[in-house]
Amino acid sequence: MSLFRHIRSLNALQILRPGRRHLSTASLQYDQDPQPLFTDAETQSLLQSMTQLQLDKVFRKRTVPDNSTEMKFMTPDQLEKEFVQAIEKARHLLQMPPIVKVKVDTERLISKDAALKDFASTKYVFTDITYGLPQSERKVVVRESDGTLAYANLETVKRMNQLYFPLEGRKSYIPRMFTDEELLKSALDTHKYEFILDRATVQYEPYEPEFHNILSRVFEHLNESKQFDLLRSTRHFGPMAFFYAWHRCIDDLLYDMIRRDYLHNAAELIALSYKIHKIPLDYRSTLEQISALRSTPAEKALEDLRNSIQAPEERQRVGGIEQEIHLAIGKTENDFASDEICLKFIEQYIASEHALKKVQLELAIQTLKEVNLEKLQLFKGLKKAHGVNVN
Amino acid sequence: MLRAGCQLLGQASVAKTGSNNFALEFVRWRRKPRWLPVAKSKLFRVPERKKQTEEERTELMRLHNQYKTQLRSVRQYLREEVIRYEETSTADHIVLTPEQEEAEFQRCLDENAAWNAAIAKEREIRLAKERDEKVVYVQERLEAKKLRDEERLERANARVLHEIEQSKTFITRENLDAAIETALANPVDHNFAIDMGGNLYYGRNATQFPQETTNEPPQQALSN
Amino acid sequence: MSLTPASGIGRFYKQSAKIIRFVRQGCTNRPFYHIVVMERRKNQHQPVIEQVGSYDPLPNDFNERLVALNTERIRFWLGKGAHLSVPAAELLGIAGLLPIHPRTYMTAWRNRRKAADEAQAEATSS
Repeated sequence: MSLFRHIRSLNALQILRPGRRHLSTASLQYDQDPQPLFTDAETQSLLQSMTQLQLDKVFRKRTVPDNSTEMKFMTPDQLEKEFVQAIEKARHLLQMPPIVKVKVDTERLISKDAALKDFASTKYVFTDITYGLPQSERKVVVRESDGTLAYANLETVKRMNQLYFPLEGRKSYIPRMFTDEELLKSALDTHKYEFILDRATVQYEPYEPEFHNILSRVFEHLNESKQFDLLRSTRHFGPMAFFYAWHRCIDDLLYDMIRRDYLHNAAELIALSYKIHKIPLDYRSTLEQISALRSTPAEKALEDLRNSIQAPEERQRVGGIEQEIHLAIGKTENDFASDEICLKFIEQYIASEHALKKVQLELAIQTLKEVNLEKLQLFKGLKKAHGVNVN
Repeated sequence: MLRAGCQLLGQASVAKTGSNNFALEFVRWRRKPRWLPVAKSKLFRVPERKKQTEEERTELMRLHNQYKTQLRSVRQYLREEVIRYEETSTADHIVLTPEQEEAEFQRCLDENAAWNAAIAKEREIRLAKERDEKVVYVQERLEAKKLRDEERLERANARVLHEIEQSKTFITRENLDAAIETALANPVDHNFAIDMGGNLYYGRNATQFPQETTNEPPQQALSN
Repeated sequence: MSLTPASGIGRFYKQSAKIIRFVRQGCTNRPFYHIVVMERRKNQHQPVIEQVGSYDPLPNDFNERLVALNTERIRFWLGKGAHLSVPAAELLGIAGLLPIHPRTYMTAWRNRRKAADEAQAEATSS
C-alpha cells in the first residue's frame, strides 16, 4: 500500500512542479503533413505487406488478465469459418496508429468582459456532457478570473475528456515513463520498444507533439540497436518503416530484411521511399510483378493455417510430392521467380546514389545470392529425383 | 455551542461523547431545539445590517432589469426551440397522411388476417389430434371398465359357489341334536405330542384333567 | 444516500413548478454539487427528475473549478419553463449559456474594491 501511495504522491508532485519536465526532443521530426501520404491506399498496402502477419506473434500471450484458450470440437466447415475469423481479427489487431501532423493550439476567444474582473479567485472550466457526442466535438470552455471566456486549449480538453469520459488504459496523469528521461532510456536500452509504443498510443492522441517525439525517439533508438524483428508483425512496424523512408535512413532496415530473406519486403521498402521522395523511377511495374507471384500476408497466413491441420498422409494425397518439397525447402517456384525480380530492383537501388551503406548491402546481397542458388539447385535436384517436371 | 449540563438533550448524544464530564461536547448533527431560549450572551445582540449604498442599489436595479429582459428573450427563444423540436422530431410519434394511415391500417388488417389464418390452421390440426386422442382414451377406459366388471362378477360368482359348498356342513336347527350327539359321542383330544415320523403320543386323558383340578384345590385349601 | 441514475427517479406533476438548482453532495468540509432539475417545492435531498451537470467548487491541482453541464437538457428544461435558482443562474451565466447574473458583477466589484482598499491600507502603513 505504502508503495502505491508513494507512486501516487510522485505523480501528484509531477503535476504541481512548475516547469514540468519534458523529454529531450528527438532530432528527426516530420517537416510536412505526413497524413495524405500515410493514409494513401498504396502506401497502406505496402506497409501491411512489410508488417507481415505471423499468427504466432499476433496471438502470443500478453500481459492481460485473461489469456485462456478454449478447446472445441468442430466440423471442417466451422473450422474454415473460424480460420477466416481469426485472420480477420489478426488484421484488426495489426491496424496501424495513424501518422498525422501535429495540431497547433489556437486561442479562440468567445467574449471578454472587463466588468467581471476578479469575480472569483480561480478560473472555471465548463465541459459539455451532452449525451452521445464524440470526443472531438465536445465543447470545453474556460472562464478566466479576469472575465474572458474562451475555448479551452487542447491539453485541457483532453484532460476533461479523460475525466468525464475515461478511455480504458489512459491515465489521467502522464506516466512517469514519458516524463522521466532516465526511465524512458532504461526501457529503450532493454529493448521494450513495443511496450513503449503501445503505451504511447494509448496515452496520447496521434496529433500531439509528445506522441511524435516518443515515436521518433523509439525509432531512432531502434535504428541504432537494429532489433527490427521485435516490431515485425506488430501494429508499429508500418509507422516505423514509414518513418525511416520519410527520413531517408532505410538502409539498416533494408539490410535486416535482406539478411532475413524477406526480399519482397525490401523491394517494397525501396518502392515506398521512392514514392515518398518522388524519385522518378518506375517501381510500380516491379511491385505488380511481385504481387502477381506472391500472395498477401493474410492469404499466406490462412493457407498456413489450413495446411497446419492436415495430416501428413492427407497432405501428400492433396498436394503430392511437390508440396512436400516446397515445405522442405521453404520456397516455391514463384518465390524464386519473385526473388529474381526483387534482387534486380534492390541492386539497382544499391547502385544508385540513394543508398548510403553500399558495401554492407552488397555483401548481404552476395551471401543471399549464394544461399539462394544452393537452394535452387537442391530444389531442382529434388524435383528431378521425384520425377516432377521442372520448367 | 451547548456544553455539559443541558439535560434536555437525550442521553444518547451525551453518551456518545465519552464518559468523563470534561469531554462532554455537543454532537454536531444535533441542533439546539426550538424551545430553548436565546443564549444569555446573545440576548441583546443586534445583528449588523449590511449597508447598501444608493449608487450600488441603482446599479443593481439597472443590471437586474437588464438581466430579466435578456433572460426573458433567451427563454422565449428556448421555448420556441423546444416547440420546433417537438414538431419536427419523430422521437415518439410519427406523422402520417390519411391515405398512408389507411394503407397502414389495411396492411395491419391483412397481416392480422394472415396471422389468424395461420393460427386457425394450427388450431384445427391440434384440435383434431386432441379429439382423436380423446376418442382413443375413452375407448380404452370403456374396455377397461368392461374388463373390471367381468372380473368383479366372476369373483362374486366364485364366492357364492364357495358359500354354497360350505353351507352343506352348517349346523342348523334341524340337525342340532344330531350334531350334539355326534360331538358327545366322538370327543376329540388335541392334547398330544407328535414326532418326526408323524406318530401321535397321547398322554393324560384330557377329560380327567379338569376333574382333578376341580377336586384337589379345595382339599389342599382345607388341609392348609 | 443511495446512488440513483442520472436520468433521475423523481416523480413529478406535469404542471408543477420545476427548478434547476444545486444539490449538495459530498461530505463535511468537502462540498460537491449536482446540478439537477426537480420540483420546486421539494427538499434538495429528495429524488430528482434529472441530473444535468455537476459542480466542484474546490479548485483542483491546476487551480480550476470544474463544471460539467448537459447543455442539451438544460436548454430543454429552460424551454419547458423551468425556474433557476440564483447560484445555478450565476454559474450558467459564467458559462456563457445565459446572460451574466447581476450578482456576479456585484461580487466582482466588491472583490475589486476590497483589493483596492487593502492595497491602499498597505501603502499608507508602509
